[in-house]
Amino acid sequence: MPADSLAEFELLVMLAALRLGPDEAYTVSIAEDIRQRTGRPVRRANVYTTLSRLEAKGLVATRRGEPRPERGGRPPRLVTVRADGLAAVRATTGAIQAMVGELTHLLGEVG
Amino acid sequence: MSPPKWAAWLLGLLAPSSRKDEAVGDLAEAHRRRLEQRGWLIAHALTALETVDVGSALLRARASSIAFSWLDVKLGARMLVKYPGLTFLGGLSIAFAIFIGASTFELISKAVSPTIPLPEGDRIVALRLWNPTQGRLESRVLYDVAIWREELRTVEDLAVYRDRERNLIGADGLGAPVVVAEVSASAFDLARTPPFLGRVLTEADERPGATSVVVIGHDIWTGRFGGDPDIVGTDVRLGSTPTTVVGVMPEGFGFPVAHDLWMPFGSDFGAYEPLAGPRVGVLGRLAPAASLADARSELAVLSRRLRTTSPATHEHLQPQVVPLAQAFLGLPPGMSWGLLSAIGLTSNLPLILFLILVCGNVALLLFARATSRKSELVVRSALGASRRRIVIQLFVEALVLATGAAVVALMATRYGLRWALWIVQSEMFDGEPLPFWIDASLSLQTVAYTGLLTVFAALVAGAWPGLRVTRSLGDGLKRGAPGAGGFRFGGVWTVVIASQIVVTMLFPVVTMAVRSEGSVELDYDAPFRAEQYMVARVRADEPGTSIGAGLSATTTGSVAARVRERLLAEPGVAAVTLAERLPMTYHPWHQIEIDGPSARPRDERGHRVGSARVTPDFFDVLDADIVAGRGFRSGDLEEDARAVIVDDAFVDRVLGGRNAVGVEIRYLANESYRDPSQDPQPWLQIVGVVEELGARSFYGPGGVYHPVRPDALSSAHLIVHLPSGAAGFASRVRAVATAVDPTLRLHEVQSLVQATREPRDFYAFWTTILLAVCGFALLLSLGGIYAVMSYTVAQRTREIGIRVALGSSRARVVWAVFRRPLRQVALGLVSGFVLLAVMVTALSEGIALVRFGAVLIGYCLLMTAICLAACATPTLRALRIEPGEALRVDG
Repeated sequence: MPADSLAEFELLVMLAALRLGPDEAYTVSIAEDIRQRTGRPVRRANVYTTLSRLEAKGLVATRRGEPRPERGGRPPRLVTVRADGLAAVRATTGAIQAMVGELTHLLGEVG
Repeated sequence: MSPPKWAAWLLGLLAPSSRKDEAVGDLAEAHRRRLEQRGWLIAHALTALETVDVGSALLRARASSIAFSWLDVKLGARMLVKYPGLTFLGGLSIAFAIFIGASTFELISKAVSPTIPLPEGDRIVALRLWNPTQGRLESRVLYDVAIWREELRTVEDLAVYRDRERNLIGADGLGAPVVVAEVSASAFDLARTPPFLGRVLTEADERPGATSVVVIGHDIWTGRFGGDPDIVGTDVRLGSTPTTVVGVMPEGFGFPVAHDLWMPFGSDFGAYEPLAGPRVGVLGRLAPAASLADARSELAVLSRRLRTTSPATHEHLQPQVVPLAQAFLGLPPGMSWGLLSAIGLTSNLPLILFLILVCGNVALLLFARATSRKSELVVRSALGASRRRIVIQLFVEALVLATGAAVVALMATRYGLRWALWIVQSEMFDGEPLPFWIDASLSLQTVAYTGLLTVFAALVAGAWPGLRVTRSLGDGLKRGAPGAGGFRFGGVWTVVIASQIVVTMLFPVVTMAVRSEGSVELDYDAPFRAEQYMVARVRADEPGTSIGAGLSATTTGSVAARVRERLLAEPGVAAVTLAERLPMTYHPWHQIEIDGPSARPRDERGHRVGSARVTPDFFDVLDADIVAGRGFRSGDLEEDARAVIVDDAFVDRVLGGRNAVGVEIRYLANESYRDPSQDPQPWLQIVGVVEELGARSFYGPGGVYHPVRPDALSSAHLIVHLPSGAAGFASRVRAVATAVDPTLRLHEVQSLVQATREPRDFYAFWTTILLAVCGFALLLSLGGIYAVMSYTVAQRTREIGIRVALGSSRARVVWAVFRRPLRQVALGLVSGFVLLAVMVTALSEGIALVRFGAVLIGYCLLMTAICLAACATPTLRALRIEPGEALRVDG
């Protein structure tokens, strides 16, 4: 069975979660990472919804972190990308690369 | 550095409890970052926007976790098609329950908190004086109004008005009655409604010597003047007074109550002494920022001062300020709307219990259906559907059914409301028009309330059985055998089944009672040919009430008697009589006392019958036979004469069929709050019995007729006998009446067939509806009881197999299986009999146990047969299969 392919924003969230790692990926940091790297504003509500959907699909898992002072003493919900999630990221980025193919001279390197 | 408290509170409220810390923590962190990067103002603005955004996302997430999908709705619709019998019977029952609930709600809201369709209509109040020593309102208040106008600060735009009914005579020369409000010009400031055409009344119109002017209502403008755009400036006649139309009010405007025309009041308020002058109503508008309580306090202060300055007239008077709607619905002093609502609810308790049983019945049937789908539910559960998911699905199925039922119920409510308002108008307003803010439309609140009832019905009929069915889904799954037993009917279902039997026992009785009551009305065969009679309600201006100049000071009865003489000279007219009420129509009821033995009344408050005053030739004109005693004589019109004639129905219902001639009766004070201490009326003697002419009150047929001189009638009906038929004679009656006296107002000029159609249609409609509903509810109950009993026995297939395998005799097995259902039926039947006995004792009139004895015995046999049939089929099936097979299949 082929791995789930991801929508664009799902892919961005998955990539941010992978980059930040299981101890630092949570809603606020993921939103900030996407904003910094893509330069586009990110609605935190979208990150919530997307994470819930990815979790329901079994692509990510979440757990309660340690309380942090900058959060008013409240813990974040940390995100870990699961094996299926990683496979979905690979499948989506692979599909993008395959489609870009020899268009790199027009589009630049992708992936 | 912390985020706004409201934002944290809101997110904490909207987030699921497991994610509350995360949501509030994220908010705090994101806000902190923004404060560092963007400054206080922008950070707060962005946090506010984000809170709303995140909050709505969390809310959507919560809603989606419990919400249903379109697939559920499609499945629900499919189930309706798959089980058409259940859809029809269940839907009809739910529709009936919702119909009763919605119409009651609409009527109560129309009475308790109507919307006055005027700008800020809820701030319009009535000011009045209550005289506790006389137990009535004092409406001669012009002296007080002059003071209130000067001094009151909490109530503005004080206006006075009084009602006048006048004959509006148009260009065709025919008069038709209208309700005129003589109002002070400030009434139009108070109503804040601009005219549709022309202008409203002004203070200049009120000055002595001013030209007589009138503002007309929209209905009059379209109905009498064909919507003439040049009506303003036209001269019309009101009775015999010429007057000029200066304006037309917009559609639906009937301020202050139910008025068609407005004329200047034209009184100098300051000229009156305390408690002198005409009787008027006083209205005003609460000043900006003033409350009802403020107005009451201020008026109380003024009143205390008046008590000092005018003790002779004002010592006992208590001022009242009440919202406009409450002032016109006759709420008894000392009774609050809350108390009235509570009484209404309490008196409707049996109805509410009945509705609960109807819903329980549908639940019973849906529960039986749900259990029959246990295999499907077990498979769904095995495929990962949670219990909640399955319950939601069953709920949605019921919701689809209930929604369809609600649409039917709302349509019925819309139609039934017309009839309900007709009853209110006849019973509470004595046939007068209802206030302009009351119409037969459905309010949005009622539609919303119907939505709530629909969800409630779906919860009772879908979610409740769903929860019970799915309680043992896990067991069914563990056994790995779709179709294996595991669902259990708890004790609550025994109660539901027994209650159903009780209710279904009542249905045949209610059905027969309704049928017999309805047949009194529907099968009534009048002794006269209604199509040969033309009727009209007539009223003239009474002495001392004339407005303007030239109105005749006369009485309705004397003018009507002159009209009668003129009509008798018309070709085709055989006879003309006058009466207070028409035959075959509603008669207001009165409580009576009999001197001597009488039939047992319907309740402990005694007999209540309709009555009418008629001229002595009434029975002759209607070709009604005097079946005992004598008819009226001229001597019966003497002041000290006490002769009355009663009809057949009175003799049957009140006197139990005994000889009525010579029996004495008297009226008691009505059981109303108006005057409970009123002395009983003098004794009257029954001198004759006439065949029934269809006099009906709220309590059924039976009428008392009093002889009256025509000139003593303040409101009368003309009854014209036209042997060649009444068609086409209406305009002739109007022309004759206007020619005799232009002030004589003729209402509802029509044939007697038309005049009596509405009440008959009403009875026909309700009798049909009630019979249909009772019949269907009976069918539904029987179906539900059969389904559940059949199911419970089918559940015992395995047990039957084991019993037979262990050598138990078939007779013992059958007894063991049948014992419980039979016990449930017996419990229901016994309870039903007890309840019926109580009912029969309480309502001996109309429902006699003996009369329904055969029906009840037949019903008990039917119920037992249904029980046996429900148990027999699955038992025989279980007995036929081999014990080993039964064990294997069901174990």
